[in-house]
Amino acid sequence: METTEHVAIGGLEVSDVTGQKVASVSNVPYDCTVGEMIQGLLAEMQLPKNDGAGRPLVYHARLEREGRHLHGSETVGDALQPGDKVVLTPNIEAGA
Amino acid sequence: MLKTDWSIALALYREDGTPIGRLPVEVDWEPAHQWVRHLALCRGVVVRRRGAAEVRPLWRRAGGPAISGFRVAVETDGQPGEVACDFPATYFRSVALALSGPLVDAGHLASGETFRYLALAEPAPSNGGAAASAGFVVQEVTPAPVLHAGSLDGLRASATVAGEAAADEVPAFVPRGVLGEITSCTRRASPLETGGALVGHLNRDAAAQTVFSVITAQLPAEHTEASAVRLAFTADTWSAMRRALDARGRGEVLLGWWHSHPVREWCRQQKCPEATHERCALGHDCFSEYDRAVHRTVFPGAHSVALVANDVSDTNVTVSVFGWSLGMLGPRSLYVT
Repeated sequence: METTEHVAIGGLEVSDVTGQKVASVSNVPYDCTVGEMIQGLLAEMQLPKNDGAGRPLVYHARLEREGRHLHGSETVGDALQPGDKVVLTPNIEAGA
Repeated sequence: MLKTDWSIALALYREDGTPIGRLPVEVDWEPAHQWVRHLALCRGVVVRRRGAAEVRPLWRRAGGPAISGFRVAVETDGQPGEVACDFPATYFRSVALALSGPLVDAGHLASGETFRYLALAEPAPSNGGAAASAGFVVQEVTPAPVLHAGSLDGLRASATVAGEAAADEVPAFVPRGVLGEITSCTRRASPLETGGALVGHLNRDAAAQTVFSVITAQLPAEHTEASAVRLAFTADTWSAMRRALDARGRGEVLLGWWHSHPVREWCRQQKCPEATHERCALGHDCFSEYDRAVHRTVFPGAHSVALVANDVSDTNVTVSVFGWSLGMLGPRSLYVT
């Protein structure tokens, strides 16, 4: 029988680009994709969902342990370990 | 994390007082939250990790629903009470402006018509305690920023002021050499936009109970996608900036960003006479909705500064400065050392 400790991950530290906002995140289901995790965190971390034209912003999750951006389709169970540090980095445009 | 038990709506009126309608709005409270956290830093008060921040209406008349503004309060550690700040209803100006386009499209407003708004607060419907993020447990654990001891008056004494000061702006200092580098980068990239990060330290003057930014360097942005009117900062851009910052090994933090406006190129494309380029409205204090979104998304901290390098003529690159004042984004000043 599966226990909760086998279906969800905890002890993640997620921050914004500047490190001015850091969140401790736990209870993320193993089968949740990285993209779903990011979407779930935006409101909690008060990060905007849209750009200057009202279009959805695309955020990436950079896994510090491996020095790479995770694919949105990777599952949390495959990509992350308890204690991992993740930085949310947006693709965003400045302009006239 | 910030919580509010209130929903905000704006009652809109024409200049003559005729009602236009009442529309619910989604308010971005985070800049106000960041402002209060900054006030706590200034006072030397530690904001409680995992503590709550709360939004409370300031009623125009007892019982509401009209409000003259709102209060944001954060819990503190080690001392009784809280740190709070009152924000005026002008905080809602940007969401009111965002409503105008759809109202014009729907025929409720004429294009260019001025309107007024009255902010209203009502208890937000309960979500029944449902988890907000697919069952994740999320707790804010932002560490207190590292503050260096500094004298505000000491630095001011040897500085010149660029731009017009906004009320309550967080003082920021930049070396003239950094502005020179920004000018050079702007020239090299022309006719495309370019940009970078502003890095340095946060200082606290205990006697003046003030925290201020001291910029020490600019880091050119890598992995961007640029045109004459757009500059896309990609996920790789921010990661490279963080790596460059770490590699400097000076304990600096990201204090803001800069980007260029190739005004000469814009004017050339518009076939404006060369003599008018330096007077072009686009070359002074132009901070678009796109620029505002970058600042809000990446630099919501009260101390964060945005510089725009305006490439207005063959011999002149001017600098415009933007930042937060009471959680609202607008032009501000900068001390040049």
